[in-house]
Amino acid sequence: MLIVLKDAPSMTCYPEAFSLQINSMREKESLHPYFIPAPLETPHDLQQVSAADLTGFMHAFRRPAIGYGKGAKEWQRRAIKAWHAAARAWENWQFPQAEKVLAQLEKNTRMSPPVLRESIANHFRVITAGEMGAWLDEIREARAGDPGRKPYPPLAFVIASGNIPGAALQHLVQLSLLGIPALVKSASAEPHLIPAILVTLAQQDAEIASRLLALIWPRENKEATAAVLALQPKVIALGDDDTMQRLQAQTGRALMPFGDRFSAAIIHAHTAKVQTLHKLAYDYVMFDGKGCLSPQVVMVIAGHWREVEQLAVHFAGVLAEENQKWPAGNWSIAEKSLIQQWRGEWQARRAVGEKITLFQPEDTSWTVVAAEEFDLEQRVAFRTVRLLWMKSFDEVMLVLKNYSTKIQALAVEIQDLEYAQLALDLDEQEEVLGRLICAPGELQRPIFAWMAANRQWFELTYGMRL
Amino acid sequence: MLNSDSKFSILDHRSSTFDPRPSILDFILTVDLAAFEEERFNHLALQLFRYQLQNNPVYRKFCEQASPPVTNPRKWHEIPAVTTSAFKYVPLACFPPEQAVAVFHTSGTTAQRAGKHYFRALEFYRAAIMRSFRAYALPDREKILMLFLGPTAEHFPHSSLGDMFSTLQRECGTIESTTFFTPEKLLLSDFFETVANAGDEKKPVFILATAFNLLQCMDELQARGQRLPLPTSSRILDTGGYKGRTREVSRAEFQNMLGECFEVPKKFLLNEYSMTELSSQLYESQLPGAPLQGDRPGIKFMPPWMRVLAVDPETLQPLPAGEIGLLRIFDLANVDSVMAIQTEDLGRAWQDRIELAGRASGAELRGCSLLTEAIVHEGESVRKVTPLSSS
Repeated sequence: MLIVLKDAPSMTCYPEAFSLQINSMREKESLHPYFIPAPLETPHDLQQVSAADLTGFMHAFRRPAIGYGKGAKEWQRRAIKAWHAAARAWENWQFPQAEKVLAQLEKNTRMSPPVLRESIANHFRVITAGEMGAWLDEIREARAGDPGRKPYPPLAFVIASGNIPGAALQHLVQLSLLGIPALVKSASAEPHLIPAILVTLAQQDAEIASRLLALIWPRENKEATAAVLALQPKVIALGDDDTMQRLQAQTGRALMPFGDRFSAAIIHAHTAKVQTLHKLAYDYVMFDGKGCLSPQVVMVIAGHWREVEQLAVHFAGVLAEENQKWPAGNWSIAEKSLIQQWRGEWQARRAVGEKITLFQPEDTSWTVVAAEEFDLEQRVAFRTVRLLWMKSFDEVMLVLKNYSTKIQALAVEIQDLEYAQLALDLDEQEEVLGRLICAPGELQRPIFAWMAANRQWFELTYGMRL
Repeated sequence: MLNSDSKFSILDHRSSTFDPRPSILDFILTVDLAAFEEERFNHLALQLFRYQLQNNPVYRKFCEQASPPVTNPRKWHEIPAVTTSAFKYVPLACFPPEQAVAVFHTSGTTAQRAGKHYFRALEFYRAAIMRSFRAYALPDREKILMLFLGPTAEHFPHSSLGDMFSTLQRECGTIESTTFFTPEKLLLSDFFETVANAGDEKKPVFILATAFNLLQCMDELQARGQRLPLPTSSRILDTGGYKGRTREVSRAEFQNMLGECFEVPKKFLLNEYSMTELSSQLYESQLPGAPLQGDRPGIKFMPPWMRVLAVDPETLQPLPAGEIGLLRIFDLANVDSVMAIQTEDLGRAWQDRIELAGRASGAELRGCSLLTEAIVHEGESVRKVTPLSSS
C-alpha cells in the first residue's frame, strides 16, 4: 500500500509509511495526511492498524466542513479548478501511471481495457467546471434565506462497492466541493481507482485533496469500522442489499444507503432506429452491464409479438457489433456459469411454449432474449439483454409501478405525451427521488447534479431538510 | 467386440412401447461397481435418451430447439444437457407431474425460486442409493447405529437428502437409529448424550450429516471444551459443502476438525456428493473394501450408471479428462426426468471419478447445507456455508 504525504515527491511503500504517519501523528497530535491510496502492485489491508491508531488518525482528519461558511468561495473556486483538471486528465487517461492503473483495474474487475477506459471516462465527462459551478450555485440559491438549513457534517464515511470502479466518485466530488472531510473505504476487490484519482487531484491542489482520505480494510476488521463509526460520521454506502442491511444495524439513521438498483429502457418497436439500438447497446456494454446505471431490461412497446422478435434480431446484430468495439471482459468461470444457467432457464421455458426468442454467440460475450414477461428482476448483467414485450405504454406503467423502489434510471425513446405521463406518474411515487430519465446512450453519464434527486443526498449536500 | 451402434440400430425402432427402464434397473442392481463398460453405458444412455425424447415433452422441445437440434446422438456425451436452473421453471418429467409419487425441491434463499424434481417411482432412486452406499460407506456390516444430523423424510418430505437418509435408516440402521434435526432445531445435547451412551457400550455409530450441522456440532463441543470420541469402526459421512460465506473452511481443515473432535481415523471420514436434480450419488471413501480407491484425498467415485464431463464454461464444449470445468452429469437413474444435467459445480472429471473444485462462486447458494443453515440460523450464532454439493 502506498502513502502520499503533502511533500512527498513520490509514492512510498505503504506499511512503513503508514507507521511513520501514525507515529508522526502521535508525536505531533496533528498531521496532514492527504490520503493513503491503495497500492498498484500488492494491496495490503489495514488489519495491522489498531482501532486506537485509526481513531487518533480520524480525530485529526475530522474537522468542520466548509460548506457555505467562511472561506467557502475560495475553497469552491480551488476545488472546481482542481477537479476539472483532474477530470480532464482521467477523461483522456493522460496522467502518470495511467497504464499501470488500467492494468490493475483490468486484473481486479476482469473488464477489458477499452471498456474500462470508456466507462471510467464517462464518470469524468460530467465533472466540468461549468457543471460543478452550476451545482454549487443552485445550492447557494436554495439555501439563501431557507429556515430549514442545517450544518454540514464534519465527517463523511463513504463505503464504496467493488463491482463498478469509481461508482462513489460523484459522491466524493460533491463532498469535496463542499469541503466535507470524507473517508472512502474502498472495496478490497477493487481498491485502486479512488486512491489513484486522489493522487491526480493532489497533483492539482494538495489542500483540496487534504479533506479526502482513501483506505481499505477487510470487512472482518470490525474494530476499524467501529473506530470510524464512533466519530459519528454521515455514512454513505454503496453495495448490495445485504451489505446495506448489515450496515443499517451498525449505523442506524446515520446511514445513507445506495443499495441494489437497476436501470431499464423503454422503446417502441415500430419507431426504434438502428441508431437507437446502438445507443442502447452502448449502455449495455459499459461496465459489462453491471451496476445500477446499466439497463437490465428493454421494455418494447409493440402491437404484435413478431415485431419484438424482429427487433431482437436487429438488437442481436447491433450488440455483436458493439461487442467488437467494446470487447467483453475476461469473466470468471462463476460469471460464465451464471450466464449459461441463465440461458438454460430461457431455453427450458421456450420448450414449454412460452414466447421466447434467444440469440447468442458461441461464447458467453452477449445474449439477447426476447420474451413476453413482466418480471424485471431476473437480472444477470454481463451483457445479457432482455427485450420484454409490452402491449401498450399503459402496460409499461403498470409494470414499472411494481419496481418503484428498485429502478435507478430509465433510458427512453417514447412519445412526448408518454414522457410527460412517465414523469408525472413517477413523480407521484416517493421513490422517484434518485431516478433519472434520459435518452438511450446517456445512462452511463448522467448530469453532474442528478444525485441531488435522491432525498437523503439532497439533504446532505444542500444542508437542508426537504 | 460388440458394435454398440449396430446393436442400437436394431433396438431403436422408436416404438412407442419401448421402455429401457427395466434394463436400467437391472444394470443398477447388478453391475460390478468397479467396472465401467463404455459400450453398455452408451447403449443404455442412448436408449434412455430416446425414451425421454418420446415421453418428456418439455425435453423433446428442448432438444428440437437446440442449435443445432439434437434428436439422434450417437454417443452419450452428445446428449443435450439441461441446466439445473431449468428445474426451477419447467416440469421435466416423462409423465404427468401431478402423478408424481415424490417431488424433491432444491433449497435456496427465500428470494430464489426452488427447482423441482418429479419422481414417478422411487425404485431407481433408492436402488442407486443403496448400491453405492453399501459399497462405499458400509462395505463391512449389514446394520449400524445411525445418527442423523441432517434432514429425514419425516420432517423434510421435499428434501431428496431427507429421503436418502430415511432410506438408509430403514435399510441399514439399527432399531436405535435416530435423527437429531427437525425443522425447528438441531438437538445437539440429545445427540451428545446418545453418542456418549454408544461409547459406553462400545457400539460403533455412523453419523450422517450436512457439513453445516457438523460445523455447528463441533462449535458446540469446542464451546463446552469437550471432545466426543466415537467407538472403533464408527464413521462420519458429510454432505452439502462447508465453504463459508463468512468464514471458509477447507476440506482438509474440516476433516482435521472432525478427526480431533470425534477421534475418528481419516479413512472413516466419508463425503457424499449429489444434488436434487440427480438420483445417484458419488462418494469419497477410503474404507477397505470400497470398489474403487483413490490415490489422493478429494476424489469422489461415481457408480457405473453415471458419467461426468467437465465442460468449458465459455462454450459448454467437453474438455479433455482431468481439465477443470463445469461438471455435466449423465445419470441413468434419472429415468423419468432428464438424464443429462448441466451443473454449476466446478471440477475435474475422469471415467469413474471426479474431483470437485468448488461451486462457481457467483452461483446461487443452494443445497442441503443451506437448508440446515436456515434452520440453525434461528436463535443461534451462525457460521454460514456455501455448499459444494447438495442432495
